[in-house]
Amino acid sequence: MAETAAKVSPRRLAGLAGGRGGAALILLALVVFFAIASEDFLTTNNLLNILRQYSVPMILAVGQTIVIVSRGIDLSVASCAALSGSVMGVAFAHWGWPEPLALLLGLAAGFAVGAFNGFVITRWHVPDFIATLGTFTAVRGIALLVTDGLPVPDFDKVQEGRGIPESSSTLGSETIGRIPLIAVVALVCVLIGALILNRTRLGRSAYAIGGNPDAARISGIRVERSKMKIYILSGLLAAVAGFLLMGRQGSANALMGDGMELQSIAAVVIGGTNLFGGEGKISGTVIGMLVIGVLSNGLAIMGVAEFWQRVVNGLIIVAVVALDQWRRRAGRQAAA
Amino acid sequence: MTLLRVRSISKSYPGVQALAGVDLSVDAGEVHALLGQNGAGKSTLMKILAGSESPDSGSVELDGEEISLGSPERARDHGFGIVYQELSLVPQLSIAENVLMARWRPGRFGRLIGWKQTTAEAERHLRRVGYDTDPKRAVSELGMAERQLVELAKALSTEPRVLLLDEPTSALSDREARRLFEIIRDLTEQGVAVVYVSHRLQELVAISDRVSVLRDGELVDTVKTRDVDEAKLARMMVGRATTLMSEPDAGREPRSRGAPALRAAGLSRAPRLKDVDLEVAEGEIVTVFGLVGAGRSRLAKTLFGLEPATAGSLEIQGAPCIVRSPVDAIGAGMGYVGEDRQGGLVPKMSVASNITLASFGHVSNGPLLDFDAERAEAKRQVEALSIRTTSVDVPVSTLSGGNQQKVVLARWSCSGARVLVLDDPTKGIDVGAKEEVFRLVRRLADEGAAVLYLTSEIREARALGDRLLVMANGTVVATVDPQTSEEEIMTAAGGVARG
Repeated sequence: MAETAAKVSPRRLAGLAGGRGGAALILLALVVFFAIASEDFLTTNNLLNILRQYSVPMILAVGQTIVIVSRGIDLSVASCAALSGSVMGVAFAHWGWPEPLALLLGLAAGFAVGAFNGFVITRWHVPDFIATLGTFTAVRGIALLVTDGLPVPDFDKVQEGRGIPESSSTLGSETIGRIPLIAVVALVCVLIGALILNRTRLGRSAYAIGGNPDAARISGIRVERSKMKIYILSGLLAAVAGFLLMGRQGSANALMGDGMELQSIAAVVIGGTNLFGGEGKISGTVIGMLVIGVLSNGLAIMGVAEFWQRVVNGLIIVAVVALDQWRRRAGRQAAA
Repeated sequence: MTLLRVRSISKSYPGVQALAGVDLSVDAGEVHALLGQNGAGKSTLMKILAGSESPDSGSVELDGEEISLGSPERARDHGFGIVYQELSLVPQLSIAENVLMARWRPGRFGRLIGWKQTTAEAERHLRRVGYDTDPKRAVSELGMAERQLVELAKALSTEPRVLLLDEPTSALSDREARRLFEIIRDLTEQGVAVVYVSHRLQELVAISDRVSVLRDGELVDTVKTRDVDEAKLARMMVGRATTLMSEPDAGREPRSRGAPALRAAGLSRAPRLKDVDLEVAEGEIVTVFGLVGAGRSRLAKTLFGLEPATAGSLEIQGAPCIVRSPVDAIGAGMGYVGEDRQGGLVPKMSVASNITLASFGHVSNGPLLDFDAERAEAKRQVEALSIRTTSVDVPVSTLSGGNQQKVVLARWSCSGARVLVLDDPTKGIDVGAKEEVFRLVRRLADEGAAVLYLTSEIREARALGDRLLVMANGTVVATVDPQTSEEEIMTAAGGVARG
């Protein structure tokens, strides 16, 4: 009896706790823990604060999910967001472009970064990690060049009566009722991302390419073209993120969003997406991002020093993935 | 004298009883074959003997003493050596490093690896398997057959008393397989017991002393090989009478040949595929027989655009056609099944998604996929091709090998392909499933598909084909009637080919 229990229970536990379910359980545990530990945690204000703070990385994580499902990785998303936001700001405030054109130019910058990633990966056969590690650095450099390393709008260059684009400050910092608009935009991105991944040919192709690129090719899926589209999608979502980031901060700069690429990857992985492609869900990533958000916020509220927050954040990523691997192993043994 | 005795070994995984009280005894110097369909429990039994799985109950005795095989290291120390079906070599390392993997010999400097000593010892083991080569070469330079020899030398380097061979000939040509048999006989003369798993009945009959047949995790019987024939063994495996695909079906009506559906002229892909001419009509099955290295797979891949042709022309359904990628081939109405079924499927995807993977158009509603249409289409195919699965929503990896291969065929039935290029689609699947695939291929042809069926098994080529092409050295060397004798076909294939 004791033997049976010992044999069955860890496996069953692992099945329950792994993947998305695992992240959800951890999220629940964190919420309960912080709610008990601090009366300031479970307040409407604080929860809205989390939403406001993690909407931008959430948008990056949507693109990241699709990229990772297709067996890629995009380290350039945060740099791309900074470039797109900066371009929008510079075009609008410094060059005096009409707002729609300035925004379009920023989107074009995101498109270009994604297309460049896709081109280098599919045509020059540079591994995804290396290609986007390159753009991670180079795109920040371009953003610094575009802004001269100064916040936008800059005193000396700003045109009469211009600031950051109005739409960006509205969507980035205002609310309807008490709901921050930035969270609404993030929700729209999440829904669009989920629709693409679940219900379109591109999404299905992403799963096929991630699950078995040879089978995808044999089935007539245009693997290169699909990867190209997926990186462009990631770049465009990053442009939207940059646009909101500028609005939230009230200015754009070349270094904004620092570290968000890692946050987005962490959210994807915590949410149960296989880092080697082929399986994963946007809903999992949402839960993963909430885990990151709740953890950082809760630790801050409890007065844990920022240095320690980093340590805990890092360890939780390792712990969740270890749990997921454990579940997969149990599953494989069951299948063998 | 009994060397190895397995007593009522049982092993279950959640939902599956992989082994139910299996007994087995193997004598020293004996070749003992393990036979059974996929899922019969052969692999589980091998894994238990190799120490990579532990049984739930039962015992293993060596020389009459009970031993415990908790880990691969422990099994090795007890004298078990294994050659796995999937080769377990590290391609970047040298032959010598692979042969003595993790047991590299120390040199003069204590714990540092002595390369001279390691190489010398590896060379000794390689000589035992009759493989004369420079052990410093990287394994990545070697062909499949040579790798298999390295794998065997690796297993022998631990001086095993029981050698476990899991499908050792699946990558070998007939000639190379014969060489392997000689090595096995040498070993048994030295008193080594060999446990041999294979699907190839012909081969088992040739090499083994006794055969143990497993079915659904239970031992059906252990028989002396000289008392049985292939048909009897096949019956024991499937538990019912079965026609072996040994002779062409003489009573079959010759297919009426329709319009040419696939025609290649001077098709080449330098340097390995040269000047291939062939024609397949609607409703016709043309088989292509070739030994390993003859260029069979390359021909299939070139036709389907996986390795685009460098010269020659192609006509599909009467229209000239340039195939630079599978997208072009599929667009022209072609379908392809590769010899590696893992290569054609997305394992984690559902059966339904795998079936519709090449036909998004059929299951879309505007820009969005229509899940109901997808499931309905998949169900239709599952029924038509009698694919055994609990539901179309389960991951395709949960299906047996034969049913997985049928899923790949279903994909092309779903896409409406009129020309099918099938490259050894029954490789590594058991007899019962093979037969079903054959029936399916015949039915697709009866429904008007043009089938080009490439195989390295001469019996399949004869049994299935309306016409038979023989390939050697990257080109078609003969076109013969399938009734032509095996010897004659083999002569054509081997007379020019170099193995």
